[in-house]
Amino acid sequence: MAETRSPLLQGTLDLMVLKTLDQMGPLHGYGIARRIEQVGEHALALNQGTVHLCLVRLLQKKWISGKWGTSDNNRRAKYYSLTKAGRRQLESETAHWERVAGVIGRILAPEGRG
Amino acid sequence: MAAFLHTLLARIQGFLRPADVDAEVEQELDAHLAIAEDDRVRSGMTREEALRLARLELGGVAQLREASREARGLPRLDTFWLDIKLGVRMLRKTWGLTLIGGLALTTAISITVGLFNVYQSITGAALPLDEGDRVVSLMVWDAADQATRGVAQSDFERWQQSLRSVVNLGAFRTVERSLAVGNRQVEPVSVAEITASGFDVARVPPLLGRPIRAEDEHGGAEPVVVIGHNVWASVFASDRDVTGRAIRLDGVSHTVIGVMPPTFAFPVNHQYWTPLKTTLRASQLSAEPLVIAFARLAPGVALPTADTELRAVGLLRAGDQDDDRQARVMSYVRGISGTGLGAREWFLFITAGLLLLPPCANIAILIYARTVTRQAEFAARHALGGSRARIVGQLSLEALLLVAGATVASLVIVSRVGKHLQADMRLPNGNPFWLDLGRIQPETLLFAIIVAALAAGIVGLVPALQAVGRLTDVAALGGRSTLKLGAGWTGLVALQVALSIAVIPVAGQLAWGIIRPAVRGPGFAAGQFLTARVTLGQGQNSSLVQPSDAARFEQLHTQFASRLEGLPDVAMLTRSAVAPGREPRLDIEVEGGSAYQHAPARVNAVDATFFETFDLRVVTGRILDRTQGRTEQVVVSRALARYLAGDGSPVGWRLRDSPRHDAPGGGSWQEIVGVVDDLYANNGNLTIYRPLPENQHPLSLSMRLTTGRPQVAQRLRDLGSEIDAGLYVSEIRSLADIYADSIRSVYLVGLMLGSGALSVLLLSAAGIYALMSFTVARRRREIAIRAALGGRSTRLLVGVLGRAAQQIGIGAIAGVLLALWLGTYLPIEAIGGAKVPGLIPVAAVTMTIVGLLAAAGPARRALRLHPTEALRDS
Repeated sequence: MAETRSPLLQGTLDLMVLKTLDQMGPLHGYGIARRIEQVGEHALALNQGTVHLCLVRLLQKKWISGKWGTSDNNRRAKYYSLTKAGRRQLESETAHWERVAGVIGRILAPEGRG
Repeated sequence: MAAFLHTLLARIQGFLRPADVDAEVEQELDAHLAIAEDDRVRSGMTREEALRLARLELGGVAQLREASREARGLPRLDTFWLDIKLGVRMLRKTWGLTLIGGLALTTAISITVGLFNVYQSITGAALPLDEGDRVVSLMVWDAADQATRGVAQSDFERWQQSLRSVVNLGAFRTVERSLAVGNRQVEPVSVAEITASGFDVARVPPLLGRPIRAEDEHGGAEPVVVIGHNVWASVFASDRDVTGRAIRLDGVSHTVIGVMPPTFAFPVNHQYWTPLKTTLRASQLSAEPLVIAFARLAPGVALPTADTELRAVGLLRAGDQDDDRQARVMSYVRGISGTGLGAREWFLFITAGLLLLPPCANIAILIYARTVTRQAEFAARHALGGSRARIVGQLSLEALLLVAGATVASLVIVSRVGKHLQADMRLPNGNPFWLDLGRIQPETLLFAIIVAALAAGIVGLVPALQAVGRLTDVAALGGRSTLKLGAGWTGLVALQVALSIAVIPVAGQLAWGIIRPAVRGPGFAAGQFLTARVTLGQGQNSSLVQPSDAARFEQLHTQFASRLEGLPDVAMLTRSAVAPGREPRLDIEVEGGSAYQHAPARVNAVDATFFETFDLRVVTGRILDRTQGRTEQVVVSRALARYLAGDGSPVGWRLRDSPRHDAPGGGSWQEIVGVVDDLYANNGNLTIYRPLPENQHPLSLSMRLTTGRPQVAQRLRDLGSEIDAGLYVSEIRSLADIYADSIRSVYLVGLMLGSGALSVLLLSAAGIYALMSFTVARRRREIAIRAALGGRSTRLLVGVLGRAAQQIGIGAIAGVLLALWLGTYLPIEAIGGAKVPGLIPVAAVTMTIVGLLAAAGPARRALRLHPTEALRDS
């Protein structure tokens, strides 16, 4: 029986896309989706289409910018990269996530190990 | 915030360039699929397999394209249009609800918005002059009375010398003069004594001749007059050589120097302008406020700056008892109209706004009941992907359409009624030239939009949110409503019944109180009485200050009265301070009986023959002594006696003018010595008659005629000028006319209230009907099955009706108790209503019958239903 894949937590995809672009530099939509799947070791139920919707949102907010270029196997693709505003947003979102995750971790930890 | 703005801009760009958006989405998804396909092929898959998997991982391509387009543009307008069409269709389908709800909403919104518009037209309208918003008035603001006062001339002259933030500072005052032109009959006219700067402020050049100039203001200058277009047309037959001709004002010859164009009536509603003479000003450096000052704001200066400067310059008399008085600059219209938007006005608007609540709540309940029956439809739409917000939005839009329709209808009604009112209305000092009640002011429009938004919120949003609360319930999809009709529902039915029973008598009594005087008439032969106002000299409205003037007036009006009494047509004659029916309204405080009371009374001062002249029978006690000057005794009307003492007698009680909240004590106490019949039997006026003071000025003479009103009216005018040119007889009118005037505008209000009450009644009945039939319809299945199992139909019907009767009964008892409580504590007569016995039981019985009929219909239908049908339906 296949291993159960977890659904994405609401609002976390933006953070993951921003972090991926921060680490990997400019990437196209398919590259971003693959990268998230790899890092998540295929444990996340990620629909690649939703990555595109997420990219539209981030573009509109000017947290990322997009530029048409050519892929390794000579295909035209739109490459996305992080803007300054995006980097600032990533920092503040990361800090927020760590705070929230820390609290949840402490709450869920067995007694005596918090 | 920055991110939000960027998103908005990007979406607007996307909306404006849909083709670019489509192309971009296509290219990007194609690129994605191509790269993914290549990737799979590299790992050893066939092209077909690779493409299939790439598509699978991307998700539904068509949906993605659509979602991507939506995310890049604005919400689709065609969806909105579809919602509007659906809304209109639903409103047409439930036409009964639309009609009754629309009528009730229109009535309530019309009353609220109409009041606001009348107020705004009088006090906040734009001045129809060149740069009218720069014209200001400089007044004395009385903070205690929340009203403006005139300015002492001494202050005005000081301001003329020191103020820098205003230009063309001028002043005027209105005086009454007797006009004589050639052989025409002498007639009283209102004249504006105005500084030359008045014409500069108005920026309207004369049609003929010239305006008043500064040199005309000097004491020794030749008397001149500028006339209005109407006067030029009616008195001078539009003679183009009118300038240079002479007219006599108060016996003094004035040369006509100019004619103003039509519609010009600055400063208020004037047609004659004479210079405000400087010698006159110098001789009247008294403490009396005499003029109204106006100006234009200097270029670049805003009103608050001018106001600050004037407050700094201040008043000469500051420091005495008038601490509440302050010199202020305000917009011209507001200064002249004399009041601000005070607590009283807000109270009125809020009370009128509360009228909206019952219809809104009723419609909300009806819409809720209807929405719940559509729950299966909404659940299906939700399951097919319609978001909750979209469904709520569509339901709210229906309500918004209904309210918007009612608001537009209300604005049309307000404008129409305004035009009608304008033709009939006569403000105390004449209608100002900027008054246009038929025009909807911009502020009124804004007010109407706010009112409509609030109403739509109550009518649509609340029931919509309630009804789509449990859309995910699978049972709802199956058509079985999950709504629990428990205690809450019984409470709602009971509340609806109770409120209807409580509100209907109040609304009915209010409407009857207002309409009654028009329906029943004055109650005596009012046409047989003629009244006239008599004043001395310049027809001032105030008391005579100089003792010599008072003595002269006494002599003149006595002479006038005895000449009148000698006329064969005059049977009796009496004097009073104001004509009966035009008494000012005062708040009085009464000591006696169980406690202090306040009453809104109309006060007149009358001489001892007044009651005999009008055949006012003494109900109890006695009438006033014949001795003049006995100020400590009063007689009250039967309506006031009933208001104060019920079936008892208030004779021996004391009353006085209510003390102002900021001043100790009111007027002096006066004893009630008697009660007389009401003069106008049906208008319910609470009247107090005080003894006529010596030196009363102005004076009203009332005559009981035997015949020939027109001849006597003509004779009155002639007699006045025969006796003395300084004796002015004006406002010659019969009591029937005065009565008609007093009820005309009120009649319209009464009609609106009446139709409001009627629509509340209809709406309540419809509300109860909907609630009851909905309650019984929910039990259709149970009733049908019990009938199929052999339950006797009459017994089942009695059971259903019994349960309905229980719910209605609780409401009816609560409603009757509430109505009785309101009847005891609500001073219905003081707010213009009239007691109508028996309204409470009528309302209770009507509502109970409506409720039972509503329950009987669906119950009978359920009994006729075949059980298989009932089971299949549910």
